[in-house]
Amino acid sequence: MAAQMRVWAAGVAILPLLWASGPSTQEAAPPFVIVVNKSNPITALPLTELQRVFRKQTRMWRHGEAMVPVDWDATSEIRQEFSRRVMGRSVREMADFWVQQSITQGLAPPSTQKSTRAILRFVASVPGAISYVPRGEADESVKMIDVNILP
Amino acid sequence: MKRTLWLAALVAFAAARPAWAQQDELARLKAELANQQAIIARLIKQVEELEKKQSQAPTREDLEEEARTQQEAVDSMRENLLGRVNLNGYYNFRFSADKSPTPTAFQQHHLGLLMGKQLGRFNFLMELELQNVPHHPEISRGEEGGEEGEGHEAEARELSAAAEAGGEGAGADISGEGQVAVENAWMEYNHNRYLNVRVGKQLSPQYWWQNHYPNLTYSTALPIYLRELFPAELVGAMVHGTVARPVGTSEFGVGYKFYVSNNQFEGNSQADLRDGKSWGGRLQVRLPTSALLRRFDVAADVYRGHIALVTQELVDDNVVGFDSQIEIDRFLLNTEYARGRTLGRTRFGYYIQPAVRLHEDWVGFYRVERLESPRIHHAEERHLAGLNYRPFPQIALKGEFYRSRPLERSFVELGEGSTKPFNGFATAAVFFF
Repeated sequence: MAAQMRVWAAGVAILPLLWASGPSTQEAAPPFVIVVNKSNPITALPLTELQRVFRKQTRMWRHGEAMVPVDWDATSEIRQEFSRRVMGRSVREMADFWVQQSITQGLAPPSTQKSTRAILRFVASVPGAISYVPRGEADESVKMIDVNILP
Repeated sequence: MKRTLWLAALVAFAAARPAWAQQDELARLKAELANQQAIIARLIKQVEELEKKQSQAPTREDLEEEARTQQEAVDSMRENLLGRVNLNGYYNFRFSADKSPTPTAFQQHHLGLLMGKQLGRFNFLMELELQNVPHHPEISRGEEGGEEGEGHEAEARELSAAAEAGGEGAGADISGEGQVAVENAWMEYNHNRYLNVRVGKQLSPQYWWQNHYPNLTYSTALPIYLRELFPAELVGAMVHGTVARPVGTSEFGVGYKFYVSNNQFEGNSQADLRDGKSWGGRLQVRLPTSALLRRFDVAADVYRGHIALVTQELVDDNVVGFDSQIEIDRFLLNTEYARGRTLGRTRFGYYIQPAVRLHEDWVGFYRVERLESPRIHHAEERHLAGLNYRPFPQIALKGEFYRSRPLERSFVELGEGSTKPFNGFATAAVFFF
């Protein structure tokens, strides 16, 4: 018990140092944009909410449509960038997360596509779909939304 | 006369020359005409080809029909994907060797099948588990406790038997023929992130019980206190939800779980000895993270219920505990502590497990743990250190050394040589599919 309390005290003592070394807000804009189906009324999403969407911790849009997140193939560079910047985890760590979710919650990871064209076609066709594509490659078949980092 | 002839000859010559020219002109005109005819023929052919192509080109209606067909195909595929049952499972094969009463053994430890399905806001999960373990360490310990309880008070004997009956190994067949058990079978309604309702047989909400699966844990063995404090599972109804507030790129979250369930004794799914049920709850706080601090979760649990004696009499069983999970860069720290009280006797247990991610595939860990329980006459401290290798997220290879030290306590009757610490080695291979 005493050992455990010492461990707790040490952890609490170093927390301020860890929080002080937070992520820089000056990082360059990500090389991808978030896209949703055109029938989705949202125009912006907090970053933490986007994380929840792709972890399937949130399942329904406010307008009642089921959320359908679509990811890129695990070997793609854009997937690795999205995983690092948005999810805060590497692709491998997210794979571990989905093994845990599959076994404890019975959830399957988001479906994946391998090209911008396939992503755009899917998001344009499925009302609750949300995904991401390289910046500049989103066309008029989908709607781009902003992602906010709230203070 | 001669002049006249000469003039006539000149006129004749002059008149003849245009005839030659006309023939040349005719020939040229004929050639030009042939050329033009060839051009016309070629143009006619091109026009025919264009007309043919135009007749094959899709109309606007054709294109719209094609788009509808493609949309239907996508919708059908989406329905198939959403409607399928998720089938997963895991297999765990273990070998352990030490100086404990448990003999050296290969153990086909667990084969679990999980089926899950999601329909809109409803979620269903079922887990079937096959255990085929001729000598299960936890069962052996419970049996020894029962045997040694011959000379103890009747209530202590009844508690020992009841505690063993209420544990996960309840009714386990130790003949080596195996046991099939339903470990999870629940359905859930997800109203929103703040309120969800889950009913059925489900694991207790404490951290290690929720994540006790062999492909999720680093070590081969469960913490020694685990089965002796909080019940492993509950049959009842639980409400749970989370409230979170974004903080920068992270969030501050508070989660709750509250449940009402049957009491813990064998056959409790069919009848309970009295109307009083057990209840429990969990409050979890997720603190904001930063670049280095990747996770900091703390939680407190409480359980108030009853445990049945062999006489079918229920006695109070109250347990409180807390746990934390901290992840800083490559370093992880998991801790749990729990304290229970039954029939005026206090039992407690804890573990502290630091780990380090040596590589993407390798994790090194150490764990110190303790259990002191009068109701099963057992007090032990154990140290483990080992490695966990995951070449793929679905495959885990584990190896660990451990040292177990029985503790001298008044409620423990130790036989000859039973106070001696002993060392052991265990290894396991796990496959998740």
